Amino acid sequence: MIGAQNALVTKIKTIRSNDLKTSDYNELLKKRSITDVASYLKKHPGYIEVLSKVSENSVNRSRLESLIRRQKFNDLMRIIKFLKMKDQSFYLLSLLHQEHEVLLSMIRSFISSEAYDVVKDLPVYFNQYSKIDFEAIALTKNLSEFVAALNNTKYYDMLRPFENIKNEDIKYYEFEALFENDYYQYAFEHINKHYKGRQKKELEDVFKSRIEIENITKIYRLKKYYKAGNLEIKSTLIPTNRIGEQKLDKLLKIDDPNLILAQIIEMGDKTYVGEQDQVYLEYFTDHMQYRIANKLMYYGTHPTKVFLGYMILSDLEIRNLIHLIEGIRYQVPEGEIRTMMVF
Amino acid sequence: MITKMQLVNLTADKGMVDEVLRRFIDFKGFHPVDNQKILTTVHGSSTFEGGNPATELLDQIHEIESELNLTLLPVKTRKLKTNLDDMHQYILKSHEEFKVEFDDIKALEQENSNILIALKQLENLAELDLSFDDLFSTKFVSVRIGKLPFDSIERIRYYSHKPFIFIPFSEEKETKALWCLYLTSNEYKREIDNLFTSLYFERVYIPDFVHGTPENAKEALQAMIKHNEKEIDEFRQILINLGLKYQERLGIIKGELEFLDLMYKSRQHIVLLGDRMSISGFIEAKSVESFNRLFDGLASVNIDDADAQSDRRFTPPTKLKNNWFSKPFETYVEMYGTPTYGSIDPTSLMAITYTLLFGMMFGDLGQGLVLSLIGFLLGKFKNWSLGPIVARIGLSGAFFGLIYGEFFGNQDFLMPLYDMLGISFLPFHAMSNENTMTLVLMSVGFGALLLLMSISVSTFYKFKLKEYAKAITSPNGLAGLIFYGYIVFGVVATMLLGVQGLFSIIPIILLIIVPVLLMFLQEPLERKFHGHQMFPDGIGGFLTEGVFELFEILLSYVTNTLSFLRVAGFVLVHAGLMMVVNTLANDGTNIIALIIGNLFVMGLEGLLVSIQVLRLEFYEMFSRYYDGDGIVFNPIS
Repeated sequence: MIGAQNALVTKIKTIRSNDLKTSDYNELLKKRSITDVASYLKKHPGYIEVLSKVSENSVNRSRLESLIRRQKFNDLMRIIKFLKMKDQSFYLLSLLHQEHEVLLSMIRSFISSEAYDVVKDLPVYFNQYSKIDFEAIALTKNLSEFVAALNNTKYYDMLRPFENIKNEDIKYYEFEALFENDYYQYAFEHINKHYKGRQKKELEDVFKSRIEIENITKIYRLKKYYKAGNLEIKSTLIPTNRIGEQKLDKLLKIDDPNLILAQIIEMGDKTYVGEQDQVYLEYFTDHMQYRIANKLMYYGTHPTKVFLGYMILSDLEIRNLIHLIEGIRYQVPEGEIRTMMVF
Repeated sequence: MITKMQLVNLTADKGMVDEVLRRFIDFKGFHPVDNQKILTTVHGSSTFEGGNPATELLDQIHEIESELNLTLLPVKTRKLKTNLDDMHQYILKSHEEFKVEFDDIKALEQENSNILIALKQLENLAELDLSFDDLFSTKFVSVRIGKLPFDSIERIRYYSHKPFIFIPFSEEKETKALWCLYLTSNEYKREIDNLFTSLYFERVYIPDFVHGTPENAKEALQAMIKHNEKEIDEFRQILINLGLKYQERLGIIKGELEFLDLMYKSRQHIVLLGDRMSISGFIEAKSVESFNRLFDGLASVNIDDADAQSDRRFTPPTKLKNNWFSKPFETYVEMYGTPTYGSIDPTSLMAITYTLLFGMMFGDLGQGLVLSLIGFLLGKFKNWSLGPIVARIGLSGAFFGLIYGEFFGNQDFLMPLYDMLGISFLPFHAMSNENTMTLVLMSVGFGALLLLMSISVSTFYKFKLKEYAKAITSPNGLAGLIFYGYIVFGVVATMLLGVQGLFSIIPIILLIIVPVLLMFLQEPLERKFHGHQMFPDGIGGFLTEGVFELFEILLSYVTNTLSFLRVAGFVLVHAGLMMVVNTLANDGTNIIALIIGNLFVMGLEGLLVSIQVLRLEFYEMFSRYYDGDGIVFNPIS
C-alpha cells in the first residue's frame, strides 16, 4: 500500500518536472509574437506531445490556448489512469472541474448576443471521460434545451430550477456559485469518505483556505464592479465554517471595496504588493494559491495532497500562459504581463 | 633541416616596372617582405595606388564558368593583346548568348519543381476517385481540398447539422493531419469556408495543369516531367556548343586577365623612391643565380643579395627540407609551430623518436605490418597526409613486435623463429612477472635519455645563436644538463653498477647545487650579462618568486621523466587487450572474432598510442628545445 502510494507520488512529481520553470517563463516573456511562443513551447518537453504536430506558423491565440489546455488535461489523465478504479474518486475532482467549465462556457454562449461558435472552444477530447453528451449540448440555444440535453447526468436535477430563464435574464454568477458549491461539496464528501484523522483535517484545510480566498475576492469584486447588495453577494458565497458567519457579515458591512482589498492583502504576505495603487487582485490570490500548492507538492507525503498541489499548479500554469498569450496578442508591455503571472 | 635563404633586393628605373614584373611573375619561390616596414622607415618612399582592373572581369568569367559548369583553360600569355574595354564587351556578348539558354533551362527546372510539389499533393489524394476537371467545373457546388489538423478532426461531427459534405482520405503520418475534401453549395460557401478556417483547415490548390483523377493526373504529370527533362538536355547541349564556340577566345581573355591580375598583385610589393622602384624578398640561396638570369639584358636593373638575417627589419621565412624518412613528419612539426629561421628543425629528431616510441608502445609484428600497409595505400591512393607517417610507424611496431614475440596477439607463433636463430633472450614477454620491473625501468630510462637529448640540443642551439647567458644558466641549458644528467647517471651507476661515492659532498655541491643555483639566478645573471641591473624590483621580490619558480623547474624534471611510464603502460595495455581478444576467439579457433578483435585493437590502440606519443613529443621534448615562432615560406604565385 505504501509502495503504491510512493509510486503515485513519484508519478505526479515526474509529470510535474515537465512543467514550465522560472527560466522558461522568463524566456517566454521575451517573445513578441504567438508564433514565437508556440515555437518555444513546441520544443519544451511539457508540450511537445500536442504541439509537435502543429506548425507554429498556423497557430493562433485561441488554438494555442486550446492545445495548452489539452496538454494539461492529458497530463492529468495520465495520473488518473495510473490509479485503480476504487482509488480514483477523489482524483476525479479535476474532471468535475472540467465539466463545470464546459457547462459554464455553454451558458456564456447563451448570454452572448453575438453569433458564438461554442464547438470551437469545447474541449471535445474530454467527451469520452464525461457523461455529458457534448454533441447534444453543442446544439442547444437556451437553458431549456440545455437542461433537456443533460438528461442522463446529475446536472439535470441541478439545473432544472433554472430551465425557464430566458437568455437575457441569465445571471452568470449564480451558475458560477452553483458549480463552485458542487465542486467543493464533492471534495468534502470524498475527503470525509476516504480519509481520517490528521490527513482528513489537512485536506479539508486546503479547500477551506481556497474557499476563503475565493469568497473574499468575490465580495470585493461584486462590491467594486457590480455594486451588488449584501444579500445578493451572500447568496453567491461558498458556505464554509472557517470564517465564521459573524466575520463574513463584518466583511460585508465594509462599504469601501479597497478596505476589503487591504484585508485580503493582510491575509497573505505583504511583499507581494507592488508599488502600483491598484494591486492586481488575481495575481495576489493566485500567488497565495501558488504558495499553498507548492507546499503540498514538495512537502506532502500522501499522494492526495501531492495531487492537489499538482492540480492547482497545473491550473496556474494554464492561466500564466493564457495571460502571456493574450498579453502578447494585445501588445501589453512585458512588465505588465509579468505582474499577472505567478511563478 | 631549414633551407638557407638569401635576402634579395631588386631595383630598377620606375619606367621599367612592367617589364620587370613581366619577368618577375614567372619566378616561383619569391617570398616578399612586408613593404610597410620599408615605407615607414624610408622617408619619401611610396607604393603603387589604385585598384586591380582585372578583378571584376575575372569574376564575370568565373560566373560564366559556373553557369556553364565548365572550366575555361587559360591560354598562358605574357603580353596584353586586347585592351580591357574590348575584353569587357566580348565577355558581355558571350554572357548574353548563354543567358538565353540558361534562362530557358531555369524555367523548365522551375516547372518541374512545381510539378513535383503537385505530385506530392496527389499522393495524399490517391484515394479520391473523382476527376479534378469534374470537381472544379461544377457551377452550383464549391469544392475544397486540403488537410485538417488532428485537434480539429474530432470537432467535425459536431457540425454534422451544417450544410456540407465531408469526405476524408488519408492520414499524414508525421502530423496526424487528415487529408480531406468538403463540398458545399455556393449559397453557403462563405459560411462553411469560415467554419473550416476556424478549424484550421489548410486548403490546397490543385494546379490548372492537373487533369483527370489523381491516378491519371499522376501519369500525365510524370510524363510532363520526362518531357521537360528532355528539353533541358537539349538546351544544355546548345549551351555546350555555345561554350565551344566562345571557349577559345574566352580562354585567351582569361589568360590575359590572369596575367594582368598577377602583375597587379605583384605591384603591391613594390616600393617607389624617386625615379627608382624596388622589390625585396627572400629566395632560396641556391636560386639566386637563376633569379639573376631572369633579368639579363635589362638595363638599370640592379640585384643585391645578402644574408637572410642581415636586415633586422625582416624575419626570414622558414622552408623545411628533409629526407625521405623524415619529410612526412613535417605535418606534426607545423602543428606545433613553424621553426624559426636559423634555429633547429626538429623534424628529423621527431621522426626517429616518434617512430621508436610508437613501435615500443604498439609492438605487434602482424598488426604493425597491416598498419603499415594501410598507411601506405591510403597515402598513395587517397592522398591522406598521415598515410606515410602511419606506414613508417607501422614498420616500427612490427619490429618491436618481433622483440615482444607478438603476432596478432599470439605469443607462440614466433617461437620457432627464435629457436631457429638461436636467440635465447627473446622474446621479451611484457606480461610476465619477471619482465614488468625491467619494462618500467627501461621506459623511464629511455625517457630520461630523450630528455637529456632534448636539453643537449637546446644547449647547442642556444650557444649557436650566441645566447650565452641562457645557454649556461637555463634549465634547458648547461646548468640543467649537468644537474639532470648527473642525477640520472648517479642513480643508474649506483643502482645498476654498484658504483659508490657518486653522491658524496663534493659531487653534490659541484654538480647539483651549483647548477641549481645557476638556474635559480638565471634571469639576474642574464640581465647582468647584458649590462643591466640584476635585481631591478628588489631582491626580496625576486627571492619570493624565484623560490616557487625553482620548485616548479625541479618538479618538472621529475614529472617529465615519470611521464614516460606511459610507454610501459601501453605495452602492457596492448598485451592485455590481445589476451582478451584471444580469449573471446577461443584461443584463435574463432577466426571471425580474431579478425574483428585484431582490427578493433589496431584501430583503438593505434589511435591512442599515436596521440600519446605526440603528447610526449610536444610536451616533454619540444617544450625544452623548440620554439616554433617562425614564418612559413610563402612565395607569391
